[in-house]
Amino acid sequence: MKYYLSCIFTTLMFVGCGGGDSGADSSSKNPPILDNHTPVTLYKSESITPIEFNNRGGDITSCSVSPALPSGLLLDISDCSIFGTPIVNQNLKNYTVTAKNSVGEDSATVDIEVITPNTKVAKLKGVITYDSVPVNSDGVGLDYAHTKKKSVRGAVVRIVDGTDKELARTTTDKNGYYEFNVANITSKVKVQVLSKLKSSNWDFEVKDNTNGNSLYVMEGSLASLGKNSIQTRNLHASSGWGGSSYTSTRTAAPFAILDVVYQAIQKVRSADRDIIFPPLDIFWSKNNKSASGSISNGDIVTSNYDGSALYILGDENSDTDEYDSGVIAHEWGHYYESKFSRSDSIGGGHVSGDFLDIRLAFGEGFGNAVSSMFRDNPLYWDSSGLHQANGWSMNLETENSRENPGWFSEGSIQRILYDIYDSHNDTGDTISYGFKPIHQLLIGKEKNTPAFTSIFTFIKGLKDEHPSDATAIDNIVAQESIAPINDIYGTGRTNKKEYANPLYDELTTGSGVTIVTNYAVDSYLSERGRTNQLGAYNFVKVVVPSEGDYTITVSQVGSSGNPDPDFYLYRGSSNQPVAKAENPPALSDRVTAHLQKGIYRMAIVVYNQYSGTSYHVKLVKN
Amino acid sequence: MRRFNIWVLALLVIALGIFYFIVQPKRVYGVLEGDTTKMMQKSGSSVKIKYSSEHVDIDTPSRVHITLTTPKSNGILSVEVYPREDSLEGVEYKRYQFSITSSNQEFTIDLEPFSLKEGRFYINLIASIQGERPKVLSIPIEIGDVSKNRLKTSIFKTQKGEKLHIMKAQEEIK
Repeated sequence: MKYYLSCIFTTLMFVGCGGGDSGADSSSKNPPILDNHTPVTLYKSESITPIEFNNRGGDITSCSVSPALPSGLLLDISDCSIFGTPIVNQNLKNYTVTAKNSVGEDSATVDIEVITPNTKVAKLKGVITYDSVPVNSDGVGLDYAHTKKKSVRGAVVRIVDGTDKELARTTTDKNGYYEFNVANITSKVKVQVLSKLKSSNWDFEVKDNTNGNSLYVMEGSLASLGKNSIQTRNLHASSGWGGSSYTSTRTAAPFAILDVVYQAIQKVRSADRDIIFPPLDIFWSKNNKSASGSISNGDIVTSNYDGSALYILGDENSDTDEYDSGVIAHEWGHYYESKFSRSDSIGGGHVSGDFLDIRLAFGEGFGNAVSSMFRDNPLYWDSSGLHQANGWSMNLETENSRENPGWFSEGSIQRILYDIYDSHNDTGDTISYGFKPIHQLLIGKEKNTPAFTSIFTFIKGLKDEHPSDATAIDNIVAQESIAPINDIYGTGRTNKKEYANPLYDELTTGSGVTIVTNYAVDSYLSERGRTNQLGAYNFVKVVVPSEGDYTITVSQVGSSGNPDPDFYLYRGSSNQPVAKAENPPALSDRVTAHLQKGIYRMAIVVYNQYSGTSYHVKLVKN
Repeated sequence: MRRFNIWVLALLVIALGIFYFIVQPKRVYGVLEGDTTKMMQKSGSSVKIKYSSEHVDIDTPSRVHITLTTPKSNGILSVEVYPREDSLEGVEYKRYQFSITSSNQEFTIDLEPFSLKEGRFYINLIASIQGERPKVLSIPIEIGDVSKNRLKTSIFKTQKGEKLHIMKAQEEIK
């Protein structure tokens, strides 16, 4: 019915306009002068924005159009504008409007097409980039003067309308390129780039822990897609650096972090194309600083992986890590290790040259090595200080000084692991495995080793999987003053601290074993809180002969002081203890647990007593 | 005589009030303490840092005591100290240098920052020994009601309930 009424109205208008010339026209001394209109694409069943012709002449008193307008469109005879709602499709067609007044007339044309909305496809494309700030050539401090534009790779891009309704989404490719083929979009839209890497196999997001854990998003302006079928919108994330300080929003930071994760994903997928990564939130904020306190206030202590999320520093003039790619990759390496392999690291403060607990030494050395593997860059740097101009760096390939090398040194471990990976052969290094063998070892033998994770478990597993390379592997290890490793317990170590002898004792039912605590070796290490140093924990291989209930007792040989022996028993691929004794200080501590037949590992630490004191360890079946 | 005594008494009370106002005892609401050996850390200098800072009222000096310990027996320990916020007064950028010897491995720094604003502020500290990696620490200082300078959030919520931190991009449309 509506269709017919429109037709009748339009027809009447056409006829009426053509014949109208009766009105008085005393105000115009010039004829109308109409400009042609640019082509117009209209959508079926959608009310149109009036098509208006620019009139540079006298007032219009009547108007006509030829041929008849598409059904649903009407002509306003007072100014020749076209309005209404088209109700049928119409191929591009030329229409002529003729305006008249008492002095004369003029005509103008417009090409009009009417289409069904979803048949209108436009391409919206572009490249997403961010500011990447490199380290100075000497490896110390950030070099803002040489900031480079880098592609935002693998990130989620979406277009939203003025109400922030998502209309479409895609991801950028390895060049930061995105493309939408959009249909039925007539409203203004904006492009948003989410700090999010998403596929069916992974979901990594960079969020603001000081702003309600909100996801960082950079967006362009709300603008029309235009009349062309292709529109390009390139978006860039600026570092915000103003020459001597950050003077505007640090938009690039989340995307710099995201790009390190992108590299790490690609490296792991080079070893296992189908691997599925557990989701991970990465929290960065310009307020994240090296202080203890509330995470929502930015007091994250340091960049770290806490077992469920990554936290990255961002405090200007103190310590920012968004451009310290090695630090980010290191922390992501801890996530990778915990999700796919196993880490027995006990954490805590550690410095270059420390004689570390073997679990911590391997965890930190692994973190640095895998950081360089992910990035294919042996340089690791950590900028800090005023204007981010200070800091330090190390090169895993060219590091000349080997301070206290050994199986307890994170430095030794990172150099060994990177030499095994990289294709550059240097002194003692003839192996270039790449990442796949390392990944396979980590998710297999290393994850399930009955001993605590250390350089011993890693190298023993590697040699078992590559027996023909055993000598070459020994040669790499020898560069760090480590004798050939032939078992997971580090049997036969000689370059150890006093009292850490042997590295593991072996316990089964019967007479038990005696261990000697090691705190007093170094007065600096003797203070509480330094239990991550070599010898602070004593390790015991526990052989349970048959399933049953057992009591494990650790008791001082003698009765001096007010010691507090604690211990933890583990089995298999879990780093959570199956039994532990953490009772208040006493000369002995014990625990009873139901144990399966097999091999367990135990870590014993004695608080409040720092001298080389002997303790007896017994396993008794109840 | 009685009127005189009343006036003397009144003046005495006023004088005491003024005296109390001027020399009122410092109120310390608590002491924040930290120890880098008990914190997660990136690989850094072998310097161990302990600190304590008093939670005080506005315009009242907070006593901040910092102890740096190293196992090294020689070298120079450099310590940079500066306020994170401009509103933290009484502390300016300063670089301390300490000579390390086998008998001198522990050093202290005492500061007395104050602020006319309430909230939680920080003193940045960077310690390094020649040839070693620096260690960075932010020491919190609490003044009055610490909630006064809590971070302001600016969260955009979409219709779907997504929480976004929106940042403007530099955009080129063509």
